[in-house]
Amino acid sequence: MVAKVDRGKIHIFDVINVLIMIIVCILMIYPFIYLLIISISPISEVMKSNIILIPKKISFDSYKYVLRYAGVGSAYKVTIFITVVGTLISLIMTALGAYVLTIKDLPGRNLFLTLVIITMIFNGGLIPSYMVVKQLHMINQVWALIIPNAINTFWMIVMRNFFQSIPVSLSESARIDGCSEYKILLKIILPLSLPIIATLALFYAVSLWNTYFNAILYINSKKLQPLQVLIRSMYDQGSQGVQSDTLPPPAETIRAATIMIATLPILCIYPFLQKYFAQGIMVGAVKG
Amino acid sequence: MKKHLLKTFSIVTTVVLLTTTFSGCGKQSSEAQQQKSSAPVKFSIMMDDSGRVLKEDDPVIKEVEKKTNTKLDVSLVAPSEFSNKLNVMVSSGSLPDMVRINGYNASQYIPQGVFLDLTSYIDKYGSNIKKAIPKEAWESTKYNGKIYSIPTVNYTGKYNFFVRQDWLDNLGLKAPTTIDELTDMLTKFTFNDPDKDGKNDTFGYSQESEINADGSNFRAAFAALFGPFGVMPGMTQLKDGKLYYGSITPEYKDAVEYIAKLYKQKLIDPDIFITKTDQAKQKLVQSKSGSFTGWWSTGSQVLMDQMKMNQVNPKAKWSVISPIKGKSGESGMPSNGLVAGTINVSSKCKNPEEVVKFIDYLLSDEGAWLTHAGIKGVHYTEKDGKFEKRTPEGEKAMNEKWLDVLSQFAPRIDIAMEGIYKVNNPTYWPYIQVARDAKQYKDVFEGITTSESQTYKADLQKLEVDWFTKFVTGKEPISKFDDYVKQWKDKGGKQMIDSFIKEYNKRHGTNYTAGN
Repeated sequence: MVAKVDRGKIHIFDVINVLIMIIVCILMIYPFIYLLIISISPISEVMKSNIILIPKKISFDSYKYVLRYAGVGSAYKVTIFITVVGTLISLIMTALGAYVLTIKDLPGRNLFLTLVIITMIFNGGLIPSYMVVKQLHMINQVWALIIPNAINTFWMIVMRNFFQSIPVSLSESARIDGCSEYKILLKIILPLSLPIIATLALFYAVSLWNTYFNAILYINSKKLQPLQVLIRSMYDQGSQGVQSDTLPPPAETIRAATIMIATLPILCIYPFLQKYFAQGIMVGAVKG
Repeated sequence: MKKHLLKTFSIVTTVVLLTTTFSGCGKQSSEAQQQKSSAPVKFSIMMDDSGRVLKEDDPVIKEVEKKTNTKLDVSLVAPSEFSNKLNVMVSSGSLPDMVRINGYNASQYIPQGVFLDLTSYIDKYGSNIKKAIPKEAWESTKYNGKIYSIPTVNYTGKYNFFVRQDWLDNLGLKAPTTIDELTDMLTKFTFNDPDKDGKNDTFGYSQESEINADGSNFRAAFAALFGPFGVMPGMTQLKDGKLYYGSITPEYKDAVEYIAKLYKQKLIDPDIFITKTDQAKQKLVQSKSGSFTGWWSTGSQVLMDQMKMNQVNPKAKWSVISPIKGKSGESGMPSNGLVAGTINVSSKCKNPEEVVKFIDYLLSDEGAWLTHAGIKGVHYTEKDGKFEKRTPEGEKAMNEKWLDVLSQFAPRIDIAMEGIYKVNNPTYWPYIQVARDAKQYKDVFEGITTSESQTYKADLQKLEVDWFTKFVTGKEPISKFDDYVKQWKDKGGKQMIDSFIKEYNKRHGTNYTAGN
C-alpha cells in the first residue's frame, strides 16, 4: 500500500529548494559570464559603465591581441601535450598500483599500503623535490610536469576500493583458468571500472591543464611553458605594481580574453564526462 | 644465424667508423684554426619578465649572440614567483650564470657566497659598465667594499601630482601652489560640480592603485599631500647632524592631521582605503576624482590612450602640478630610489671574464641600442645619426613585447628614455621630465639593510599604515599620536633605526645620531 504523500508540504519545500539552487547557480555562473562579456567588449565600453549585462558593442580585438601574443601557440601545444599524455600515464600507473594492492596474498602488502599512506600525509618540501627532479635530469623537460605527480595516492586508494568491490570470484576463476594478472586487469577489471576511470581521467586532466607552480619551478625555457604560466605573466602586468616605463599594462578586456582562452577548453570536457562523474562520486562506497 | 649477425655487425661498425673519420677530415684544417676563438660561450640568464616575452628565434638576441660570440639561454619568470624560484635555485645550487634581481634583494644572498666577486673583472673589462652607472649606485650595492652586484639604475623621480585641467578651467581656478590653495581646489572639486554634469558625484583627491595593507605604497598614494609638510613616511632625513625617521616626526603628525581633515570633509574619496587598482583607474576614467598622485605614465599614457579616457570624455585633460609648497617652502615628491635592481653573477660561473665582457657589451652604446631599439634599419630608422622612429616591423615587435627583452636585463635609462621614448612620444615626454626633475625627498638609508630591518621592517610598515588609516578615517583621534610613536619604537622601530644609523656611519665614516 503506497503511503499518501502530502502534496502541499512537498511543494513548498521544492519551491524553496529550487529557488536557493537557482540563486547559488547564478552566483557561480555570473562572474564567468561577466568575464565573457568583458572579453568581447571594446575597452571604451568597459570603462564607461561598471556593470554590463548585455553587451552593446561586440569587439574581438582582445582575442586577436591575445592570440598574437608571442608564445600562445606553443603554450597551448605544451598544455595539450601534458594533459593528454600525462592523463594517460597517470591512469595507467594509478590502475597498475591500485590493482596490485587488491591482491590479497601479495607479500609485503601491508608495508606497501603503509608507505603509500605516508606519502599522502608527508611531503619532502620544495627544495628536496627540486633536487630529486634535478638529479633525475628532468629539469627543463616536459616530463618534470608529468612524472613527479603522476599518481595521486588518495585516488589510487579509492580506485583500489572500487576494484575490490568487483566480485572476487570473477578474477579467481580467471586465475584458475591460467590467466595472467595483466590479462585479468585488462580484460576483466578495467572494463567493469569505467566510472572510476572516467572520474580519474577528469581529475588528472584538470589538474594537468592547470599546471602552474611546477612549471615555474622546473621549467626554464620559454618553449616548454604551459598555458597557465603565460596567462599569469600577462595578468601580472596589469594588477600589481609592475610599473613599466615603456610598456602600458594590458586592459581589463585583454585579461578577460586571456582567462577565457585558458579556461574554456577544459570546461568543454566536463559535459562529456558528466555522467561518469556523478556516478564516480559514490565510487568506493558500499554497494547494496 | 650467428655468422650472419656477426657479418652484419662488422659491416655496420666499419661503415660507421669510416663515416665519422671522414666527416672530421674536411673541416679539420679550418677547424683547428678557428677552434681557439670560435666556440661561442654559453650563458644562462634569469630575470623577471618585466612584462616581456621571449620569442623563438628572436633576431635581436641572435644579433647579440653574434656580436658577443655567445649562446644565450634566457629564462623569464613571472614577477610574483621570482623570489620563490630564486630561493629554490640558490638552495639547490643551480643558479644560472647571470641573474637580475629587483631592488636590493640580492644583498641577502651575498653572505651565502652564491655570487661572484666582480671587483677585479669590472676594473679590467667593465669600462662601459663603470660609465653607465653613477657612483652612489655603486656605493649602496657594495658589500664589504667589494662588488658582488652590478646595480641597474633608473630615474629617481617617477611621481607626478595630476590634476584635471578642464575642471580647473571650468571653475576659473589657477593651479594651487600653497596648502590653502590646495584645500580650496579640493573643496571646489568636491562641491562645485566641476564637470558640469549637474550631479554631486565628484571628489577632490583619490588614488591610482590599491593601498596595500602591508604599508608598501601608502606613501606614494598620498605623496602630494605629504610633500608640503616636509616629510615622507618611511623616509629618514638628515637635519643638523641628526637623523629623523619620517613617520614619527611632528611634521608627520601635522600632515596626517591635514589629511584626516580633508577626509572628514569628504574631499578625499571615502573609499580610498578599500578600492582596488582596477576600480581606482576606472573611477579616474569616469571622472569621479579631480586629482591624484601617480606614476608619471598614469595621467598620460595609461588613462588617456590605454584606457581610452579621451574617447570616454573628450574634454578631459590631466595636467601636472608642481609639488605644493608648505609654510616654510618645503615641497617634493618621494624619490623612487636610484637602484632598480642588480645583476649578479653566480660564483659557479666558469667564464667570469667573458661574463663581465658580455655585460659590458650590453651597456655599451652599440650593445644598448641593439637591445633597446632592435636592429638598425630593420626595427628602427636613423636620421643624422640619431634614432628617428620605429619601423612597422619594430612596432609589431614592441607590441608583441619581445623586441627589448635584454634591455630589461641591463638597462641604459638614457637610451630608453631620451634616446627612444622622447622621440616616439613627444606628447608624453613632458610628463617624464616634470617627474624626473621635480624636487625629491630621498631616504638617507636607501639601500641599507641590517638584520634588524629584516626582522622588524615588514611589521613596522604594517603598523604605520594601520595607524595612518585609523587616524585619517577618524577611528582614532590624532591625540593618540604619541601612543602610536611609542608603539612603533617598542615594536622594534628604535632598534631598526639604531642599526641603520650604525651601518650608515660605518659606510660613510660619519657620526650621526638619532634625532627622534
